[in-house]
Amino acid sequence: MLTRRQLFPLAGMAGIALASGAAVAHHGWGGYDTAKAFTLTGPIIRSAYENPHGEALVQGDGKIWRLTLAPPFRLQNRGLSVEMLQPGTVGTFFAYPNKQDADEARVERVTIGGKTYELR
Amino acid sequence: MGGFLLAWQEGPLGLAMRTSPLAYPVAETLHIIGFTLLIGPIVALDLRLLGFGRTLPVAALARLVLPVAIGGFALAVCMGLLLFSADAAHVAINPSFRIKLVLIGLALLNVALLHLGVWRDVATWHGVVPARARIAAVLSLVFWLGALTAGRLIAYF
Repeated sequence: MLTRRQLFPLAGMAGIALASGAAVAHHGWGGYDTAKAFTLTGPIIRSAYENPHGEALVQGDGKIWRLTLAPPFRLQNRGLSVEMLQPGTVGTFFAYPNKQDADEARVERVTIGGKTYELR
Repeated sequence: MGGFLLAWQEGPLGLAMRTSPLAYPVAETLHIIGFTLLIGPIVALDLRLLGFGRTLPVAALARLVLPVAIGGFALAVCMGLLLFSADAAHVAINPSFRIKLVLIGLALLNVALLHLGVWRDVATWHGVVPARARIAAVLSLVFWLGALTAGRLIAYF
């Protein structure tokens, strides 16, 4: 069976794994401030229908937001085609701001042309 | 280096990985299957080296396990290169990704040292696992499970 000499590195690794999980959640949903959820209506300036995440630059609230969307397969699946995200299209985005980056937000749902599309 | 990564990312392979709805999730899934086939069997072999399942001869277990692990590793690396192409410049500076590469490098070094060392005489162990092989087994667990963890946490940094 395992001696103490063999067990310590295992315990250490487990500790590191747990600590790093708790440390910083920049990019996943945990990195966004759900308490500061906001609604933004504005025109799409540019969009990227791309993996790993789609993106839309949207003008609103006196600035340009970088909005993170879902991967293309999910966007398609939920009914949002690449044509619907062309520049000039006006959308209403319900999003959470990035805790570390004030100009970036992750979109929970978007309304375009009267229809709402869930992205989570 | 930065220019090379950006060129790779913006080249035809990177473009295909970003814009094709299927390519990325398929590559991602095969990447996961690949490292599962690597890590599962290797953990079993490491546990055998640490004294579990003593009725199983080490060499016979290895003959089953190692080809599966090597095949899984090869699949994971190939799919990993495809995934990397999609946003090479971003992923390359991700701290969790860098830790993952270091841990994979250490894991491979550990494998090489074991196979060039006491493993050459595995047929003569007769059920008694040398201390160096046991140390290598612990390091193997730490490095491979660490790499797996770091890979999953890329999305969180």
